[in-house]
Amino acid sequence: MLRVKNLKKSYGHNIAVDNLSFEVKDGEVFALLGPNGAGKTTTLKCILGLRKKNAGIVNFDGPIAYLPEEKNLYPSYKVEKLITFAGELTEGLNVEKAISLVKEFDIDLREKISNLSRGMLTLLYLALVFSQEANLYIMDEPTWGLDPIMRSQALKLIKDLAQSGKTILYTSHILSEVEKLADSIAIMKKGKILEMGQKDELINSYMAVKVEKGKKIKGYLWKSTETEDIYIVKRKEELRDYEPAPFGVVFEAVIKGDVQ
Amino acid sequence: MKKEFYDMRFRALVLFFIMLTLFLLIAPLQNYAVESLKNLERSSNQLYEKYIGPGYSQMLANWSFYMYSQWFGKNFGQLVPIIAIVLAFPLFSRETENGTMEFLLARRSRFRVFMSKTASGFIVLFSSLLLLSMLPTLYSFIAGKDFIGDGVPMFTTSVLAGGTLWFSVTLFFSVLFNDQVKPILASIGTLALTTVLGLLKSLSFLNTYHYILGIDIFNYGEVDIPYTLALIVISIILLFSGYFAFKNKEI
Repeated sequence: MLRVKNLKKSYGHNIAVDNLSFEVKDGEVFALLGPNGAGKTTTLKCILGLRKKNAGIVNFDGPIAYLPEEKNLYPSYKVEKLITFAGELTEGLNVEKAISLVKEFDIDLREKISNLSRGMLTLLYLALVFSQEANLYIMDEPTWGLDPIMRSQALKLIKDLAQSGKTILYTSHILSEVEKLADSIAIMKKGKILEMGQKDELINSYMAVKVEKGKKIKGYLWKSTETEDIYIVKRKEELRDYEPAPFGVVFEAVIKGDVQ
Repeated sequence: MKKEFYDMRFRALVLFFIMLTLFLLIAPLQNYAVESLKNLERSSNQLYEKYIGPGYSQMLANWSFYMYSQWFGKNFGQLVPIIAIVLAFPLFSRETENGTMEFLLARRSRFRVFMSKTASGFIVLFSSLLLLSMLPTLYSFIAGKDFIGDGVPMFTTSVLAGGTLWFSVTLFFSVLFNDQVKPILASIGTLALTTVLGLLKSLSFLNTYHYILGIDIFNYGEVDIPYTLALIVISIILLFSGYFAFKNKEI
């Protein structure tokens, strides 16, 4: 289990991660969601020790496979050479599996890294991550730069990884992906977790309420029709006339911070 | 470490072949150099008498002296800091600039990454310097020249200690900066500054060229041991500082 407790990280006066605490259980797929600058990448980097935390505790034992936000690899290497070196550098990396995945992604092993497109770079990096035997897989925007076909390939692999009982912590901007993959979600903004919990519970804790056009209630105005306004509000017992709210709208409402 | 050698192979080979070419340009030109100096002597050139002195052409006619003075004491010696700087500057800064440091540090501890880069850099530096130090001996053997190699270990010591210092200085800058240009500029700047300041009598110890070119070996027939130790101690301090900076660097 990954335990993060009271994690703090600031850059001068700018607080990037503000007293963050969460847990990722073994075998769980945990998604960190949030707008740009929410502190997701910094949180992941603090967990990995790439950034020095100002305070807090990170507890995790065992090897971690990491897919960074910026998929930078050695531009002068050829794909096969990179995999060979990665095999030498990485504990538990199955080189044959990486090569087979790269072939599956239709990437030429003799191609120079500098000639690969963004999407191909992401796939190559994913191939290295998926071929590593690790206790925790940390992926920062794993489908970044991928076209829809490549994205579905990558998602299938993440899903397979999750189904094999691996623990996954990842960030994404694509809510539909998160909805499909995640067991638990934390929504971050300005270094803080605004909402966290099991995906279904979190989604169900918000609802869409129809009110008379022009009537103001505390909540996030989702959309208006000719006769009524639809607000997203936190679920309450006394509210009877409501509809389930789509996840994307719930996310937007939480980020805007004007739901009650 | 294999990756580090792979990354350094091009630079190391280019440097070695440049130095080899330089040596092969110098070695066969002994007669030409001696004749040129003799002509200057004969013409009673005042500058020659002031800065070189009479009898130098006679000394240069001695093959061993020619090799020591023109290779160790001039061309090779002058380029030792540059070789060390060129080998060391991208070790860390290139990974940081290209964003590949994350790739390494997600797989290896900072200590192992630092050790691997530093050790492989030193292996390549020492191999190059040792091989280049052996060129006079090897060339003399092949060309059938009579070379007295007694001084080679002393000059090699100077070259290795001087190379170690400039490698350590540059490695420290390579850890500190996030792009590849600044470590070169900082190292060359430090080299230029120490050399210029070393022209002042009271600060002469700053001029590492005095030691690397083996002036004391020519004058007294021995290596300056305290200076050698000082260079090694400074190098160790720089390496520790480099590791400390790397350990705490934000990636």
